[in-house]
Parts: sequence; C-alpha cells; structure tokens
Amino acid sequence: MANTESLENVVLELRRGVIVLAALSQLGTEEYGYSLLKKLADLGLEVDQGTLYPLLRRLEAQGLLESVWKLEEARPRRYYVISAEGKKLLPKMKKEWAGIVSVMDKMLS
Amino acid sequence: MSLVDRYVAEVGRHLPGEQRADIEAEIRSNLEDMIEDSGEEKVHAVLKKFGDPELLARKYTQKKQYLIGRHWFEIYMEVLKRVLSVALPVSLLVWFFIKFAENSDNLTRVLIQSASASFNIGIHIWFWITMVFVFLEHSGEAPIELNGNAREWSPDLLPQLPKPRQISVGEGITDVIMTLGGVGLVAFSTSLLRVEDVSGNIPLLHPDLWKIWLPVFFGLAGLTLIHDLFKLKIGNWTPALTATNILLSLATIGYLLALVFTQDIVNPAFAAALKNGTPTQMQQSVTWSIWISIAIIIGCYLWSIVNSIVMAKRLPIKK
Repeated sequence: MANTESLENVVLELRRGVIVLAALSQLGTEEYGYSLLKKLADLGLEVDQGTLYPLLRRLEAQGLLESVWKLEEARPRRYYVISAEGKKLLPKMKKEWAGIVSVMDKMLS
Repeated sequence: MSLVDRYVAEVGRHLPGEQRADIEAEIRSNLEDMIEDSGEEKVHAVLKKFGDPELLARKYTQKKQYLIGRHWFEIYMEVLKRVLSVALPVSLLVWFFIKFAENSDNLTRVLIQSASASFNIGIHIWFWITMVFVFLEHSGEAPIELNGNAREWSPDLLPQLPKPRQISVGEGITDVIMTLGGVGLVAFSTSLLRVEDVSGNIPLLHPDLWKIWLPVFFGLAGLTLIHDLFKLKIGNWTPALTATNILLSLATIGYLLALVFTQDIVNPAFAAALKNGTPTQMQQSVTWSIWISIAIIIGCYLWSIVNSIVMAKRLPIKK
C-alpha cells in the first residue's frame, strides 16, 4: 500500500515538472483548455485538469502565452497560443531538457 | 446543469473579485467541453475529476487570503496581551471612579457601566492593534512559496542568529503603543475626556494646562518615544539605555508630582456639569480618580527603574 502510494507521488512529481515544457511545445497552434488536455493525453501524457488550467493562466501572466476568448457554436472558449517571448525561450528549454535526458539516461543505464 | 453551476459558484467564492468572473467563465467552458465529450450522465464523475473547488481556486490565486500570518502572529498575540492587561484594569478603575462620582448610590449600575465602557475601550484597542499587524503583514513581500519567481538568494541573506534579548519584540512594541496611546489620549482629550452640557462640551482637563504643562508633557512623551524605539532596537538593558530609562522615568515622576501638587488638573466646570452631588463633592471625587491613575503610572515608572537596574546587572555576555 505504502509502496504504490510513494510510487504514485514520484510519478506525479516527475510529470508536474514536464507539463510546462509539454504545454509550451504543443501551443504553436492555438488550443483551448480541454483540447490541449486531450492532445497531451493522446500523445501519452495524462495531466490533471486542476493542474493544467491554472498553469496556462500562470504562463500567460509570465508572458510566455497569449490568450483570447472566442465565441464558437457551442460555447465561448479561451484559446491559448505561445507568445513571441515564449517562442524565443522554447529552444533553450528544449536544450535544457535534452541535457537532462542524456544525463539521466547515463545515470539510470 | 445545476451541479455545474454550483461547482463554478463554489470555486468563485474562493477567488478574489477582480479575477472571479473571468476564471469562472473559463472553468465553466472547460467543464462543459469535458461533459460534452464524456456524456451528460457523467457530470458527477467529471466534477469529481476536477476536484475540490477550494483547492482549485487556490491554484488560481496567489494572493494572501489571511489577515495575519505565521510570521507576525506570535508577536501580535504578545502585544495584544500586554497592552490589554494594562489598559483594561486601568480603564476599569478610572471609569469606576468617574461613574461612581456621577451616581454613587447605585453600585451595581456603576459596576456595569464601567465594565461596559472598559469593554468598549478593549474592542477599540484590539481593532487598532490588529489593523497595525494586518498592515505589517500585507506591506511586506510575499512568502517564497507564493511568489512565481524565486527571489535572488545567497547565504549572505541568512538572518543573524537572534542575539539574546532581555526585552522581547512584543514588549518593545507594547511600550511604543502605550506611549502613543498616552499622547493620543491627552492630545484628543477635549473630545475624549469630556461631559456634555447645555453650554456645549466641557473637557475634563483644566484649560490653563494647555499653556505650559501639556506642551511639556508632549515633550517628555516625545523623548520617551525615542527611548522606546531604541529599547525595541537594542533589546537589552545596556548601561546607556538603563541610564536614559532612569533619567526619563525620574523626570516623568517629577513632572507628575509637580503637576498634582501645584496645579488644578480638573476643570471646575467639568465637576459642576456632572449630574449628581454638590460641585465640591464632584470636584473631589474626580480629582481622586485622577490622583489614583497618576499614582498607578508613577508606580509603573518606579517599577521600570528597579527592573532596568536589576536587568542591567544580568546583561547577557557579549562575544
């Protein structure tokens, strides 16, 4: 029992770390909250709603994303897309990530 | 859809006003997208996945949603206890004499009136001290975990180990508040300590005192305030602090004794304006209550002198 719980906690922590990068990388085209959630899930990254939606707002407040409300057939939706600032930073983040992956590969093999 | 409405409203209840409408709209839109996808009958499950509304709201806001946090709470409680433990008994006593002078034949009523007047004073003190600490809490920088960006930190920023203090921060702040309170009481005495009469407001203090005696009081209080601030900063009864404490206390005691024995403190019109008894009786009664208050204050100063001398001998050894 305790074992599965601590395993879950570690997995959760690991995912939380990569969500920012995952979201930024997928927002080259604009997405609304739920469509981004599904896109990430389809690619294999299950993210908690309660984590992703507030995060999008935070990234916007930091200037990495831009957002706009659009009125569609079903309901108004808030669309997010990466900002100029975010585009500038994304390659650097990717490089950081590649560095972490190669180090961890070495460590874990 | 009423369950969704209730969920969105519950999240909104925990959001600050200026962001509420926008975040509510976004959560609703996200929820409806997901419900549409999973089927109307799954509303319950979808909401469960979204989780506790209060937790969700907390992830959206980064504002402090408390009045006084851990950092200030202990000091706040100490100041409150110290100020109230002096102010309440003194005000009870003073009010007792004033009410007794007004209406000496009904002791129960006198007790109830003076207790409720002191209770009022206590509420005021509690309110204003709380306001001071709310300001301190919210004017400072947010705790690290609430800031999006970590501040620039280096080991040089580590606070010094707290030096041994004989005078706690709470005690120091209490002294400052008491001195300011005394100044405020006298400065606004024409509106605080007065009776109303057909001819208008009659202040308790003799009007002649404003010529020399009260300005001298303000001067002394100013020096005391400076002393209080140094006391708060230094935190120990160093020789210099002890010496100024003795000098200031003696000066204040001398001032109060001279005031009591050479001046008429009570406005004759004040006693005359009180309802019952002959003016001479009232004058005596009010004068007595002032003498007793001043005797208590002198007692406090004498205690302060003795205390500072004793503590100065036990000064923590400096490295």
